[in-house]
Amino acid sequence: MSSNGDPYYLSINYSYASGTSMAAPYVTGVASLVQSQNPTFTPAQIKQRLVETADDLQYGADGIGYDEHFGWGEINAFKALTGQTYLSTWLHSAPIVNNVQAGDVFRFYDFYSYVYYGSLTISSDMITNSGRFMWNGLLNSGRFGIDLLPYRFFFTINNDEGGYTIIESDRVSPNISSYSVVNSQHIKISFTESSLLSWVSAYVFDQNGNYLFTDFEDVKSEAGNNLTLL
Amino acid sequence: MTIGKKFAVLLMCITVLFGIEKELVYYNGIYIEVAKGEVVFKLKNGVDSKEFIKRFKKDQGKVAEISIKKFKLGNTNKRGLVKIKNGFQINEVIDLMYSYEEVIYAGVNVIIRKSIIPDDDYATSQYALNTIDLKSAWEFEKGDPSLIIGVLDSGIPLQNGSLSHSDLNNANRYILGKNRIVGADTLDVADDDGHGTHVLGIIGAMTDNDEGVFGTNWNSKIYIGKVFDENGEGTEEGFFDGVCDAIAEGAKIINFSGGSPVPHESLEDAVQFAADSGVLLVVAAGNTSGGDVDYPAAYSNQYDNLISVSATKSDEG
Repeated sequence: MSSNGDPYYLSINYSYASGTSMAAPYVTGVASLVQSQNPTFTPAQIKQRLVETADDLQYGADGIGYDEHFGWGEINAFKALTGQTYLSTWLHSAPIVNNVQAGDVFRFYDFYSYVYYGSLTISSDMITNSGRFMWNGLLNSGRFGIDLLPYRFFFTINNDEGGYTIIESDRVSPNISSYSVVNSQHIKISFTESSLLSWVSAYVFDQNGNYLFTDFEDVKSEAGNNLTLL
Repeated sequence: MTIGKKFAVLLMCITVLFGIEKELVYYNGIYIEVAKGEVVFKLKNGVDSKEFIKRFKKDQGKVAEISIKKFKLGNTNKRGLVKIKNGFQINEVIDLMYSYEEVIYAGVNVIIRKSIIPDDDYATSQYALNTIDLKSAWEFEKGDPSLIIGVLDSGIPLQNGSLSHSDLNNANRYILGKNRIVGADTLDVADDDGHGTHVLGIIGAMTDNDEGVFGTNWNSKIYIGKVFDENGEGTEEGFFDGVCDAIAEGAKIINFSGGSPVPHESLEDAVQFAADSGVLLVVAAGNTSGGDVDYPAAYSNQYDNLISVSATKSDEG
């Protein structure tokens, strides 16, 4: 960064890069919401919360976590107030799916045996008023992952608004209530693509949100096909 | 730090346009701007400050005028400002100050500047609304009305002493504080630059729909301290005073969208005082993405009550 040491900073991403005057008050505002919600928090606790829940803006060369250009990442008000730290180190946002409806069911299967592992029924309290889905990774059974291999999986499929997370796809119609298959080493996903060309990727993280491996990346699906990825 | 003693002061030029009078001094290999003819000093703990002031005035009345500050808060050293009279130079007076055994520190008063703001804050605010997930966040918290946020900037729109901006006119929310520009009316915090108005809008403008400028926090109180003049400039000692004022009013979080390119005593004193008082400082990292970070932002790896904030381009995200 500079000879002055390595200042750790949060950032805010906006379309006019000419100044930080605008960025600081957003962080002040979000910090004030965290303080309002947690009146006994010390300054250090607020700072820690904002850093832990920031979205890493740069993955790849610099790896996950702090990096020189983006600091600790971009502040995320929603995650700061919900205390969500998982997936804060990948791509752009929380494990959030757009356009999910209460009653949708995600199903999880063991990849090798195809044994049914568990399901997640979307309830209305998982959906925010602004129409986004937020999930802590817990299945209906109360478990996160396979007991012997406690990887924690998240999957979302994004829409035109841009990349959200583990299963990342370009322009998949948001009908993800159909079928998804996941296990500890690989992810299998099947879905029906209605009309748009899609690319699908799957990244696997552990319980702490640390990146483990990429299962597949940028696999292309044809419009109208029933796509199965192994 | 006792760097004041090591100054090799070069009088390069004197700015006598509008606003704060400045001069350049040579500091750690670069020229920096400081308030013309001003020396900040601190006294050792336990010193009888009245006795010291009396003696200094008697001995040095021809050289400089001295003033000392009264702080109600904290355990800080007593500190004050010396205004140098014509014919004497800053480095001479710094050395003179150090010749008194009561003085623990004497140094220049570094100029601070506002950080740049983008032209189109409307588009920017709309972008940020979605980017940082504020809409979702408001479902959980919109701001505690008893919390006080301090904003140290160029002030708030006022007309005849009354709040005059339609988005910033809730008298129950805004606490009009002090003006810490040397020579200004300490009770006048009217924004004569516009920078402070932008910053306040982001933190606490009236938010009742998704259109136009919105405030991140809907309810909390905001203390207004003026540390930037009509040119967006001020001094590090003014910033220190502003931090003390805001904390005395009960602020728990303080925003400062400005800084200095060099580290200096009063800037760090302000951060330390906030740390001792349990107050969070949120400061702009500087004007260039990926460039050098301004002070006090660059202290953020040493102080866990200081958050440094940078801006990034949307196409990098």
